[in-house]
Amino acid sequence: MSENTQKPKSRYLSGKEIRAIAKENNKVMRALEKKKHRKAAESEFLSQMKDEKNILEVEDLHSYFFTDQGVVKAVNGVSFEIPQGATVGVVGESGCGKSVTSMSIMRLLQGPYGQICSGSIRFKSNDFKRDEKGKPIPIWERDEQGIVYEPVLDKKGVQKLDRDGNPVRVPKQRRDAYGTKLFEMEEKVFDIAEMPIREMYRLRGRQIAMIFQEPMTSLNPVLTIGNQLDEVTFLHFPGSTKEDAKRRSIEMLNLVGIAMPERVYKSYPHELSGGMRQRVMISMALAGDPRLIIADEPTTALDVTIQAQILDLLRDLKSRINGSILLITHDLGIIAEMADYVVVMYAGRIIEKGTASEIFHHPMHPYTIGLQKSKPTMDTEKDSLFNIPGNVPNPIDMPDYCYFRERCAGCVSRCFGDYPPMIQVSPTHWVACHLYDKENTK
Amino acid sequence: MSEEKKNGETAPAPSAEELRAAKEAERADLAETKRVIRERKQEIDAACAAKIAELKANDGGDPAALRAAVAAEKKRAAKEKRLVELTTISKTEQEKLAVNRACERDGVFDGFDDEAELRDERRRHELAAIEDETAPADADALLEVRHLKMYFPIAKTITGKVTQWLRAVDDVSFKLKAGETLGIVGESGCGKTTMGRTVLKLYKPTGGQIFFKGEDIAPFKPSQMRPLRTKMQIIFQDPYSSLPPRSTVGGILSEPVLVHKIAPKEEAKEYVLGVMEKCGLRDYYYERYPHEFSGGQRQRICIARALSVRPELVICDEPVSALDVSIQAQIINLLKQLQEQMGLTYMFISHDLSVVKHISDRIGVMYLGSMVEFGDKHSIFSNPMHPYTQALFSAVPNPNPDVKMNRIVLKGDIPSPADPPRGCKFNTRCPKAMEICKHVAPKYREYEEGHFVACHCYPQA
Repeated sequence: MSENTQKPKSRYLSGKEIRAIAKENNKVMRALEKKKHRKAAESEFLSQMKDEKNILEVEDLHSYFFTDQGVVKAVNGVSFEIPQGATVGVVGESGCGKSVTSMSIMRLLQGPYGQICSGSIRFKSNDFKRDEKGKPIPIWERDEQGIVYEPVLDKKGVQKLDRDGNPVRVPKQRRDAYGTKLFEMEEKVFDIAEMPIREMYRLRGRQIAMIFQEPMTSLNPVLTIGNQLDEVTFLHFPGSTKEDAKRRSIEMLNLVGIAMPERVYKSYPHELSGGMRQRVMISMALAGDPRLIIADEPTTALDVTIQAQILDLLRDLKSRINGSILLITHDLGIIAEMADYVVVMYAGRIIEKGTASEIFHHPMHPYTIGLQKSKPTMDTEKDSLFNIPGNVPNPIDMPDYCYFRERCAGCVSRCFGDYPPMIQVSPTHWVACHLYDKENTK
Repeated sequence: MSEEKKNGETAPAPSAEELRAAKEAERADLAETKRVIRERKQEIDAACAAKIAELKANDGGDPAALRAAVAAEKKRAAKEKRLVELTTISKTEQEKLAVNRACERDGVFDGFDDEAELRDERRRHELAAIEDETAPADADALLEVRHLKMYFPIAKTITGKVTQWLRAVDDVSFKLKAGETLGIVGESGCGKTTMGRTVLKLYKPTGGQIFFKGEDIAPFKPSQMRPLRTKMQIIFQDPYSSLPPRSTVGGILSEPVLVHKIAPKEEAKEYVLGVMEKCGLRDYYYERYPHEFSGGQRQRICIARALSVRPELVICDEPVSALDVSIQAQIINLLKQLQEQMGLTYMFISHDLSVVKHISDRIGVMYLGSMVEFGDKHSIFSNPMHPYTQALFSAVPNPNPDVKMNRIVLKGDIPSPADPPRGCKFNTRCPKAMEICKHVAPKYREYEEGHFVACHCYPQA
């Protein structure tokens, strides 16, 4: 409460100070940019998962923004994992670093100011097996006699003949349910934080897909929906023809429950409503057949009834494609409905993580408890809402004690010391608060 | 199937000549009706002129009184003429409506004329509005809205005649008692914000009456509205764009105080500091600029600006949707606390049902410009009657992972308000839609005390 009684100290910096900060930042940024754009052999960023059940492991991730006012530690030592087939929800207020975490996983931080400074992001990818020339190896259709060959047709549908008048025949490639050509795959574990940025094209869209918050600003207004959807297939499935791509795109639109996919395929984003646009975004994410979908506030821009439709769709799709979802939102209600595991973030750090029922039935961190009490619910009635006093601390000079101390009602003497470590209270439940420190309770 | 075929064979399609004759007859009928209306209007005009001449002859020497009397007479005549237009219906139209009524009774909608039904519905609404016009305002209510309409022109011919209207608010009526909170919920584009602004006369309403403290402010000119502005204020949704970036908090808050002469110039600062303290703003913020504040603090400044003129009615247009959850709770608690202290009346517009439930005494649910359900908070939440309200309530995510809700998921999107569906506007998405819903608009009726619903699922007569 000390903040309320005395005038906080001014943050205005002189020109000299700003120049000094900029000089220091430039040095760090240049080194990091160089690392980002280096050429590297694959062995440099191959890694090993700690637990084979996980699909993504984030460990001690630090993503900073180097501004002229100082370094903003947007993500400051975040560790969590996503098990195969599970939905992990990240919840927190605006500016707590949840979007920056997802952007770090996709390596989409706006450079040179935004950089991953340290930590590792290990992702178990399903990459193409490549031959000596670096080309993906197709899977051929086989029967008892060996590889099946098929005749080649020209544009008019007439069989092509070679010089001797014999029909030209090529090996037939196996196709998936959507008619897309299949290649041999192998599992590799990449450390995304170490990868050079040009290698990220192998993962983005293909292995990890993202659904953004604002479908209107994320779709290209001058291209048709079909054009934008086909691009995914062209990029990520080598050897796809126009027909292959169109067939796949329409299948994807069908999958997300769009009634007239042929019409939507030809229309422009402005011709669709908000809910339809978000469905198109989801179908675009699915088109690459990803193992992990990052949904960054997928329903914030939508109405309640449309939100219900989209959440239903996401839940249904997850079981159908057997993928994992990283769901980022500020709405506890959505998290409770969708997530298996919950991560609560505050000011760039994880303050509590556990399974959904642990977080909702036995919340431990005072911030999580406060967050749940401050939201009015439909089935209970209260005279006045619990309110967490004060605001989030200034992201530039973060204190070295617990970031929540100023707003916390349950402070103990330990809180005036160091930042609390993550304390394990059950096999899956972790909390960063001195109240649960065993030494403290003695 | 076979019977239908037989019927089709026995009744041959009308020939081109017959069709032409029918059209001719219809046109003649319409011309006849128009002539009757014109004659009746001329009669009324003549009577009106005679009355005015009589008034002028018996002039008592007071020109102001005479002018008022003449104006009142002219107004009466205009209203009478409009009534004639509404009640004189052509024969063909009457026949069509008779067919419609028979269809409605039997529940078979072959040959139902949607166009005629729509015209009839508009006529009925206008007649009801004219009928209610002279009724005195409810003495208990601080704000009473009757048949409020706000239409925006969206297409015009080259001569400037409007060919298409966007009916943003279409025939909405409600009452709001002093000290109560009315929550308005609905999806985006359903006209909640437009209604809030029309009630404040920020738009000029197309029709209807707005009684504020028993006085109809709908026909007021801007100059007449000026003294009332201190009594009614608005808090906007986005605290980032609704504060002027180039003036200090002190400047923002003292401007309304000085304009409306709430406090003399010398005491203005002291008064403003008092208001700031009430809204939880420190006194050293007085010299600061809006960009120095976070969203929650900015919303406090907006609230302080609205309250600085000591209003009675405050329209809160989505005041918390741009804020974080923990800040939302602070603002909602502040609004509640200020209501208790100052006896404010709120109209709270929001799309977040849990917030509306927390703060409101009465709730109105809007869909495509109309009120579909209105009532006491407890009766609406314990017994939501309209299918849209039911779906809306079931769609709210519940922050309890163990509760599996049986959710009613509505199909499709909200239709464009420029071209709403015929009949009941909700029929395209309604899980309980019947045949009648596609043709006839349901009546907005009171089913329990103070609980109004417009739905065909409940008895209409």
